[in-house]
Amino acid sequence: MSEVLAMGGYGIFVWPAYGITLSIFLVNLLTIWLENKKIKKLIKHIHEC
Amino acid sequence: MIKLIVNEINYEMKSIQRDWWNWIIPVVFFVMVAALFPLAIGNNPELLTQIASGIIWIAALLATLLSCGNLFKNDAQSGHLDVLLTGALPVSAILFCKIACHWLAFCGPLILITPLLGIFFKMEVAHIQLLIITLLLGTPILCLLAASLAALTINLENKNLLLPLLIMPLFIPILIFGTGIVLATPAEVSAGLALLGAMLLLSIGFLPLMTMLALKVGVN
Amino acid sequence: MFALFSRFISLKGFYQTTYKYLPFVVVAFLSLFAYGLFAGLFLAPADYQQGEGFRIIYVHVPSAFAAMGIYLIMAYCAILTLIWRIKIAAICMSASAGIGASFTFLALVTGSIWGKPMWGTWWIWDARLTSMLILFFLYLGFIALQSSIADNNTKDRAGALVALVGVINLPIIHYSVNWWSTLHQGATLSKFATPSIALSMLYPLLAMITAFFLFYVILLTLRMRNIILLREVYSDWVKGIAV
Repeated sequence: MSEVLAMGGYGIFVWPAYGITLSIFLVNLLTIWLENKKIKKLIKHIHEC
Repeated sequence: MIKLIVNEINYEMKSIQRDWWNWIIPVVFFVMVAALFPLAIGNNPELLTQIASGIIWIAALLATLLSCGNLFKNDAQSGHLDVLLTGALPVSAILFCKIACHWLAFCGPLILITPLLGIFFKMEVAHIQLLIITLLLGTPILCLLAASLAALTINLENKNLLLPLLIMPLFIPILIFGTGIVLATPAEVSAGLALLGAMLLLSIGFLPLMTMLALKVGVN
Repeated sequence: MFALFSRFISLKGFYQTTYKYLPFVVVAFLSLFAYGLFAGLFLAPADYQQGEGFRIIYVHVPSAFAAMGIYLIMAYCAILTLIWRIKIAAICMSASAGIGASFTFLALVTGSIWGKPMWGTWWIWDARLTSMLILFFLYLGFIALQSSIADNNTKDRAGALVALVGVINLPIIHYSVNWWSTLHQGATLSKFATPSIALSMLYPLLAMITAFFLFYVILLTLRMRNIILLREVYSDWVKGIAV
């Protein structure tokens, strides 16, 4: 396991790179989901009044 | 057609001459930006001479960038622009005159003061000559590009740095060629100047049309 | 052929058709992504020059391709918007911008992280990196312009113009930066050689490139659905959605 983390000495570069990639993916998905919630609330508000 | 152009040039020059202070402000800004660099980098004459052409080009670029934002402001407010767009006149020709007069009024003084700045930075005479030629070829392209994007942002209230942000990527090739020519070998100089001249001709040909399109979008 | 596209062109049609097809895209993405990650991180053999560090290629190259490809897609949608005023193309353009900017940012960051152990520096002003940085600025400018215009019609057409002007200038910028970087060839750190790549390293790369593209499609679809809801917020078919 520790050799997987170390990646032959380059671990400190490889894992953060993949980590940043995944986090940007998740941030994008999160913003879309939050925007969607806001829009649904707006639609409900508009069509109830 | 000639009468149209003459009328337009008269109109533009008169509106610029109205505030004579307008002739001086770009020059002062230009010299101030160029002066910022020695202040920031420290008094290192050899270093400054090496980067002098870059400094002067950047100062000219910033001055052009910031002055082109107001290119259409007066006309939009006075309604002249709407009349222009709905009329039967060749809009791109008129726009070309407008931008040409703007270039003469704003960039002309800059180019006149460039030799003085070159002396301040201890540039060689040959380099100063090349610098002036590249500025002469490059600043019209900058004005044309800036006008085409300024037309898009006419009706926006909170503009701030939006226009500079949009325009700067387009300015970068001209900046690269402009400064690159000054420091290049003689063989490359003629090639670079030819390229810059070609870009100028292309801009004159196409960008007024682009500006017209952008105006139609920007004015609604 | 037209029947295939006609379902996607109207806003309501797009919304309802993608609801049916999105799960398949998600499944395809997840499987390709999982294979690419696993094979890239563990199965592919270590490069003899770069050691294990080369594995960053499996996130760097796909994001760079995506960054460029998305801008081209935006430019294509811009042409559709300006000439034929196809609304769905305009929405596609607006939605792609944020995603493209994220991928460009990712390409820059992973490239920088890859550069540090390989070439000893976080950043170098060479042609490719500088071009990618300028592409990032083009994306940001586009997003800034669109967010400052309120009217939908103007927003679409102004954005389309800026995207087109950007795409025309992108080759000019790239070649001038290329010329510039060969001009000021002061202290080059090392050559940026692209080694010929072994097959066992290639397959995960292809999988990741496709996976990133599929992820772009997923994000794009979701974002476009949001924008469609916002634009059609007063119509009847939207009424049933939030209930």
